[in-house]
Amino acid sequence: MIIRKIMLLGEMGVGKTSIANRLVFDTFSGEYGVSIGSDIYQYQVEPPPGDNPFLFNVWDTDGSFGETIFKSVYIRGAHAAIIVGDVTRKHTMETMARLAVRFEEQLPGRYLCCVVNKIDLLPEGEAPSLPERLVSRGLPYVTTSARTGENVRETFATAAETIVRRGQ
Amino acid sequence: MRRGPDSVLNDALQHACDMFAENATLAFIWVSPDMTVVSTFGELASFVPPGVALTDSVPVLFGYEDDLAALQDHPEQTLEIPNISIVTGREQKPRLNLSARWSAPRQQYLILVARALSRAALEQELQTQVRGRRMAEMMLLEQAQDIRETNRALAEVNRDLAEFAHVVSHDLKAPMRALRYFADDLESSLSDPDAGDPRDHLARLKGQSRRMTTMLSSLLSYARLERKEEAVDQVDTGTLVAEVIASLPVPANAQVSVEGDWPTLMTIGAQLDLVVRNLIENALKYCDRAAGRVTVSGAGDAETLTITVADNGPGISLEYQDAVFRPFAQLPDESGAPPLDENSSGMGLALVKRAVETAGGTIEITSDPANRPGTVFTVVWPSEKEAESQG
Repeated sequence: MIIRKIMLLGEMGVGKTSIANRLVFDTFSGEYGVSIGSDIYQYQVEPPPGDNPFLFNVWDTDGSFGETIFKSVYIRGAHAAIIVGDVTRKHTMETMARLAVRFEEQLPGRYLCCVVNKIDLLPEGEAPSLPERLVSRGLPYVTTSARTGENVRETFATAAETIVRRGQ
Repeated sequence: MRRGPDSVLNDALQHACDMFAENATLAFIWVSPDMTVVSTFGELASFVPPGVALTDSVPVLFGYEDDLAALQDHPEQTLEIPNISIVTGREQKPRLNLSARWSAPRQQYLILVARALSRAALEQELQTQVRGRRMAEMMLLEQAQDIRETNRALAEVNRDLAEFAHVVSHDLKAPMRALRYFADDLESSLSDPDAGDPRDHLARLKGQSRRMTTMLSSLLSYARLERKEEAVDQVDTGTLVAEVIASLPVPANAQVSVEGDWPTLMTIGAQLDLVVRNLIENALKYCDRAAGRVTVSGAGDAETLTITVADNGPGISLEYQDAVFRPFAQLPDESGAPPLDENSSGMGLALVKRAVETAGGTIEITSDPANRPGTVFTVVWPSEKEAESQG
C-alpha cells in the first residue's frame, strides 16, 4: 500500500475539518469547532490510482498557526497539501494564496492544490473571486463544498493520482 | 538493616512507574533502527504489536522517518509531536503527545505516548485564560480610574494647599501686623500721654485678637469640611430650612420667606445646614434696603435639590463674583475701602462653596448691580446616592 501524508492548511473557519469529515466519514456538521493542535484522519482513495491501494494520512491543522505552520513539527515529512479558503471571506482566500506560495517555497515539488470551499454559498452562476496572487502564479485550484460534498473526494483522488504519476 | 540491591532497584522502578503514571504515559514503544517495533509496555501497547513496522501501527509517525534517523546522531535531542488526535469516528479520542529519543546503549528508539490535555480541558484552559485576560483588563481599567480619581483628589489638595499658603501668608499677616501696631501704640501711650489713651489701644488690640481667633476658627472649619459617610442621613430639607431661619437674627428692615418644594433626601444635614445658613446670613448682612427681602426657594426630588437664595440687596459686581468664594474675602464698600468688620471672618461663602463641592454639587451667582439690584445664589445639591453615581 502507498501511504502519503497530506496537510490541510488554511485560516480558521474555512472548512478544513468539514472537508476531512466529508472525505472520511461522508458527513457534514454545520457546527463550528476550533481545531487544536492537529487531528489526523486516514482515507483510502477510491478507486486506487494505478490499481495501487493508496492511503492518505490527512493532517487537519489548527488554523491559527498561519504561516508558522511551516516552522512546526506537524508539517515535517508532508508529501502534499490541500490549502483551503472560504469563497465568502476574501481575506481567507488571500491567506490561501499566501500559504500556497509559502508551501511551494518550503516544500518545492510537492503536490499542492488550492481549494475554494463553501462554493454552495455563492449565488448560482456567480464565479468565485480569486486572489490575484493565485491567478498570477498559476496555482492550481478547485472549487468544493464540504456541505454538499461537491468535488471533495475528487480533489483527493486527483492528488493521489498525481503523486503516483510523479512517483513521489 | 542494610537494604539489598534488589530492594533499591524495586524502589527506583516504583518511583519511575509513579512518575510515568503522573505524566499520563500511555505506552512505551521500543523500536529497532529499521523502524520495526521491538517491545511495548503500557495501556496502549496492545495496539502496537512487536514485529510490525512502526508506521503501520503508529501512522502519526509516517513521514517522520528522516527525523527519527537524525536522532541517532543527536541522542540528546527529542522529537516531540504534541497535541495530536487520531480521528476514527465521531467519538472524541484522547489527545496525545508523542516523544521519540534514540537510546545509544540499547541502539533502539524509545517512543513515548502520553496523554495530552483533552479538548475540553484545552478549551477550558483557553476560556480560563480569556477570562483571566478580561479580568486583568478590567482591573487595569479600574486602576486607571482609581489613578484618575487620585490625581483629581491630589489636584484638589494641591489647590487647597495653595489656597492655604495664600491665606496664611497674606490674609492672616494683616491682622498680625495690626496686632503689632496696636501693641506699639499701647507701649507708646504708657510713656507719652499724647499718644492716646492706653485703654483705647488695648481695646483695639483685643478687638484684633478676637478677629484673628474668628479667622483661625473659620479656617479650621474650612479645612475640616469633608464628606463623611457616617454623617449621611435622611434629611427633611423643609424642616432644616425652617430651623435655620428660626435661629437667625433677622434685622427689622428685612423679611425672609420660603417657597417651593423641599424634598427629603439622603445627605449630610450639617453641611446642608451650613450652606443654607451662610447664604441667608450673607443676604441679611448686606441688606441695605428699608424693605429688604430674602427669598429662599427649593425645587427637586429625592435625587437632587436646587436651592436659590435671592435678595434685593446691593448685588455683587461681576469682577467680584469669583472672589467672594475665596477664604477671608470681603468686598470693598461703595468708596472702595476694605470693610472693617471685626465680627466677620470673610469665610462664609468660602465655606459654602467648599461644602457644596464636597457634596458633589455646584453653586452659581446671578447678579448685575449695574442694571438691577439683588443677588441670586443657586445651589444644586445632589443626594448622597446621586453624588456617588456621578463618581
